[in-house]
Amino acid sequence: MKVSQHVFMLMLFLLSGYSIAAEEFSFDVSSYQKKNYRLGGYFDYSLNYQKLNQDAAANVLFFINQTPPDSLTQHTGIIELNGDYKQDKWQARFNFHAEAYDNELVSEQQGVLYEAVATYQPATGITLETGKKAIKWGKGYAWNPVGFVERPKDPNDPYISREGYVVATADIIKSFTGDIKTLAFTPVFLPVTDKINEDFGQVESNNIAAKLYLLYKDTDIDIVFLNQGSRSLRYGFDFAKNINTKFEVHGEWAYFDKVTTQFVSDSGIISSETDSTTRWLLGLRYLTDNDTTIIAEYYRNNSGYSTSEMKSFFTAVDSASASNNTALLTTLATVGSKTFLTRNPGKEYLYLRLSTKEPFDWVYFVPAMTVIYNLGDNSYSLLPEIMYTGLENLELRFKATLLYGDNNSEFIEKRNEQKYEFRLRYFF
Amino acid sequence: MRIKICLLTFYIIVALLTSTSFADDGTTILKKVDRNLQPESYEMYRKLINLEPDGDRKEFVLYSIKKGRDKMVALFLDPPSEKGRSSLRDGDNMWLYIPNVGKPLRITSLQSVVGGVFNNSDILRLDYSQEYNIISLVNDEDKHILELKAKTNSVAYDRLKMWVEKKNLVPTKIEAYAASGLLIKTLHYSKIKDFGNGIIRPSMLQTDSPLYQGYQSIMLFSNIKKRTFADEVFTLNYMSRIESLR
Repeated sequence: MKVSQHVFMLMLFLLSGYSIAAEEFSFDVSSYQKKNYRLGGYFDYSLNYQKLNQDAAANVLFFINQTPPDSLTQHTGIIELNGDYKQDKWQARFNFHAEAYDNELVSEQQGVLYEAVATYQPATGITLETGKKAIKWGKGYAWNPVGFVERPKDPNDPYISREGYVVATADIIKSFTGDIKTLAFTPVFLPVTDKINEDFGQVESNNIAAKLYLLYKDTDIDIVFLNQGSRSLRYGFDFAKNINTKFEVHGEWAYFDKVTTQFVSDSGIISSETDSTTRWLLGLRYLTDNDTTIIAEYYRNNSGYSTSEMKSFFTAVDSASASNNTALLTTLATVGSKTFLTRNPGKEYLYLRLSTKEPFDWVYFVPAMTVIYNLGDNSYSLLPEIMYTGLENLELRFKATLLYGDNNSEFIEKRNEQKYEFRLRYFF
Repeated sequence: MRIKICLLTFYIIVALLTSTSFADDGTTILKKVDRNLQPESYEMYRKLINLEPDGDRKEFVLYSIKKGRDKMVALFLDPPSEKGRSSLRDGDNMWLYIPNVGKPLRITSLQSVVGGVFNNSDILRLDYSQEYNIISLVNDEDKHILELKAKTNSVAYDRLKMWVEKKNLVPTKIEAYAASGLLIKTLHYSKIKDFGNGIIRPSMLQTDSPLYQGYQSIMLFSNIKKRTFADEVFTLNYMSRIESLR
């Protein structure tokens, strides 16, 4: 090869290298120009293995007069599709959720319109909305005592989307200079008939809720209210504040008028009491020097069940099962599904979550550990998980759910003793 | 004795005058740097690129708006897993809105919503003169070297050392230090570009950190335009509607 050819090759190499470098950090903003419509969502596939606790109250009541299986393997597919269309001051948006699952016992599929909302924005600080909307109030990660007009959150997976209610709502925002920087008022009208929002509470009631938000001296404060209608009167407040560059604190407090609580005696006698109650939580989020985020919350539900009340219910289930009392088991299953067997029915809980971004140079891996602890009966669930986000538009997660406690305690009487789940989520 | 007192008084007066003078000069330079980097109220598009030690990269595209001294919002346009997320800053307050979660969550400035070397305060950066005081100014041949100290302990970095190019009055390099004196990261501004309407500034920001060996993060700037917004846009209740401003 002649010298000129070497020079030519060298120049070609340098130029090609330069063009790669230039292209490497290019930014063509034209492909992100605004359109008046948007469509997106995700597809989610999960495979989980559940090791069932055959003696647990939840299984005894689910498999009345049957022997529960030792384990279940389940395949679940979810498609969540969301989009919106904008025209001047109007916008229409939706969120559709379809789910299908299959295990050794059951195979089901369903599609639910989680949200379908029409929005009109006559001015920057005023928004009017009507339709099915998921309204979410409160500052807590795991629990929201002030979430008066929403479906309950799953503390095991608090970030999953939830179905809304049909509402008419407004949002009026005003900014100021001074100690109060923002004031926002959000009234909500939520009707309940036998065809609309029928699972919210007593039918043929018009429910009015409202939230007043203030950013006061760098603290978020919400004052919330729901009138007596389908549910009893309730009101409360929440707050959140950054203490420094790594530390955030938050809390919620709510008063509930006339909450009816059902009790079950050791022998299976059902009684109920109606009284007012309060629920509250205090929480924090802290970022350590090694990039570990700690979320901790204490939750107190004064109308929750004490350890002895929970124990009475589980004893009644054991006795009814031992005596093959099918009628009582059926009754206890109905009562239990709304009370003792719901998520976190006790009085006092601690939530702790630790997550570390890419530890030990594990690029794109985020391991996390969550504990939900019943401070009354010392039972708890431990949820180790690891997420990988290194593939474009894909998120892979492995999560285990391990339950611990004594007999007749909350977590040990749930259906699964252990659960292992692999989830693949593709965003589009 | 009287001469000594006179000399001491003279020395104190000179010291006070010179220190006030460098602080004034430094503050003027810093304010010019702020205005040259971005108008007080504007909109812009940014691409964030996180380069991992194994050569992999992750990209994010953000639409950002800012108003006045302390209000800023960034909306994620890409990738699809982040689309619709927005983060808001109002002074020392920061929030993240995730569409699935459906309500804003408070975040802190040293956390990172995108991973990589950039943290939340880098992505929602306010004017330097809003957060820092000048503690020294050195005039080099073609650069000013400014040392800055955070005005409060709620600012992400306790101290900055900033190299400012005299010609365009824009920074070329910034070292960010913790209160302990530990170097947290180094920012490199480069590729000066004319964005129109008198905005001539670097179009690329690269950062690396001794705390994240082998990682690098890059920010590319595009379509920086002066624009004014209502204050109500920079509130929690508006975070789900930022897309409507584009």
